[in-house]
Amino acid sequence: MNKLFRIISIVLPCLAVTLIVVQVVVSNELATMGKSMGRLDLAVNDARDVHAELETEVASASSLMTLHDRALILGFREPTPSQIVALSPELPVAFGVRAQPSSLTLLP
Amino acid sequence: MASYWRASFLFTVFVVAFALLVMRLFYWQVISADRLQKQAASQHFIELNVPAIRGGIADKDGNPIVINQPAFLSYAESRLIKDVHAFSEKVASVLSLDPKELASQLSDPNRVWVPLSHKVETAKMTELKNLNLPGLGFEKEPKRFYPEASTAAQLLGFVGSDVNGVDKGYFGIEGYYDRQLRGTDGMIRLEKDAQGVPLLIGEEERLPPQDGRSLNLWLDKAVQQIVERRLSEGIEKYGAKQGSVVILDPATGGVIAMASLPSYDPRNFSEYDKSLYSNPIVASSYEPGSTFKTLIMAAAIDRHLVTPNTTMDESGPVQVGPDYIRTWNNQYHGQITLTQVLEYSSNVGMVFVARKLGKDNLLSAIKGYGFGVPTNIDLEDESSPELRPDNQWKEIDEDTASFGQGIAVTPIQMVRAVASLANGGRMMEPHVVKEIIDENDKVIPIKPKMVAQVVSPETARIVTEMMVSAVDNGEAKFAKPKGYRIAGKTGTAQIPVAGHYDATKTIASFVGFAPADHPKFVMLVTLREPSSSQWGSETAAPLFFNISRDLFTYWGIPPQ
Repeated sequence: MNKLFRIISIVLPCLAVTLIVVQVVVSNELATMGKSMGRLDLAVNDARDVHAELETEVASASSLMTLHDRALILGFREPTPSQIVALSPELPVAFGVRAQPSSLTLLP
Repeated sequence: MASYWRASFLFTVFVVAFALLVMRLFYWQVISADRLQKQAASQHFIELNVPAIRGGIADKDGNPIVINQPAFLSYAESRLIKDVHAFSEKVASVLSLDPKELASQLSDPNRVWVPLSHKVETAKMTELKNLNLPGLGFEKEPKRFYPEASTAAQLLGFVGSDVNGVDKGYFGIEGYYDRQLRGTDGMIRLEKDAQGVPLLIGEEERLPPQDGRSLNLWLDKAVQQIVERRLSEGIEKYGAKQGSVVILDPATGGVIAMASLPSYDPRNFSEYDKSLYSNPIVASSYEPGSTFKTLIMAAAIDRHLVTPNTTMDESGPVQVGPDYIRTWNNQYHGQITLTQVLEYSSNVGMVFVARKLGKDNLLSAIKGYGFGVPTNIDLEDESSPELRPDNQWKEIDEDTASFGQGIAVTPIQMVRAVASLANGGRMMEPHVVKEIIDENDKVIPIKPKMVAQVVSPETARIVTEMMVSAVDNGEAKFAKPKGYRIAGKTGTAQIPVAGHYDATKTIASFVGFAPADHPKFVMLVTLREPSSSQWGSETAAPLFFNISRDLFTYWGIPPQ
């Protein structure tokens, strides 16, 4: 029993001293990481700015005004009304065929 | 005795000193507590404002119309500047400032911090940074970016500053949805060391910003561009002072396009006349003229007082007291049906209809269509001209109202009323915003809202046919796209000036929808004081049909 108390009385102070040293070292380390955190915050902000900048560039490049201008440069022209051909919707099959005794013939 | 006085004196001194001490402590701990706490906190903590990002605005397909772009407030700290004049010369040349004025501000000993320019774009900021000038600083101050430049300016509104210099939306969508778009600023409070560097294991409080909500509109960017281009061409061709076009989806009340010219550029709004800021489609009133006839005709048919085949005698002007009501061209056709009344746009015929309706029915119909009260469109600048009180309507007022004179409406009220005819008599509340997207990307739809069933579906169908006939056989038939069934009506209203109508100044308009059987859109075109011709059939109607042609192609609507 006495032996056990003796061991505990040696181990506990050693453990306490070790923990204190670890705490001091870790706290010190953490306290000096503020600069790193600041740098990371700045990097995040810079990345956000770049993202916003690119977003505006994409929006600008894909705007209808830009596309219109680019199309004109590439030689596209607006069609005149006569150049626009509208395809009539397809008629249901039964309206477009004539029944024959042995076959179905498409009407011209 | 002497020792008693000495003891009393000493006691009194102690009491007074104690009282002074208590008073001083009371001053520090109670009266100045807040100030001292703030001072202490400022020595131990950094407080950073984290501005919320203003929400964007996109069209119906999610294409951006308004987004944010990085920009900066550029400032100078006088105490860090070595040579004020050299500094002023260099900075002023980049920011287009007056170097002398800047130098005098920087030399003022009472100013330690001088703002140089707001919303400086990244390119200029980089140029300034490359000057490597001590005392020159930047702070983020995002600004609005418009990929389509000034498109839909009066619909969108703009972002300016309020009295505290904080961004605020004005007019249009930016004004109406300002609270939703702006969000709520956040804050970061960090404990710092003696050098001002944040302590990672120190006290920390973070209140994240709530970014503004984004808006998806009913607007179709391509249609808006078509409308603005055609309107600009139309104004030039017909020599009009001002023009506007509004296109609604009759089934939902969604605003597909809305444009007025002249307009302004929201990027440089301060350089334009303030009168251009408000949107005339919702904020200005006009007399609708003959376009109003369709609504009164529908009211009379809905009450079973007339039918399209009812005939009337159009043999000459109608006398009302000392006044005569004539047709627009002073030509008379004898016995005509009410369908022909719309085809000929006969004022005399409409007086016949108004008299069939009677005063009570006429006023009830006008109010039923929503005239006299705002439409509740989600735009900041909406206003509505008031109708005259019921007891002040004279016989001449009833007669002239039947053909749209002597009554003022806004374009949005007019197009909404006609949209109800295109939508089976169901009148919808007009809306610009289709969905709100919150900060967690949750989509909150704004459901279409029916306001009233203004006429029966059968009446709407009958009047639609009459309007198709008015287009096919009316004055504007020469401009109509071939093969399409378009329901519409021209209008030419004289402008009241100082209590009388100016015979030479008119507002030409055309309202209609297409395809007539399954309307995809309803559109109102108005041109103020066109100089090539004063008639709606020769100005607004061709413009309406030009825009319609483009829309048929864009939406792939084939001829019927």
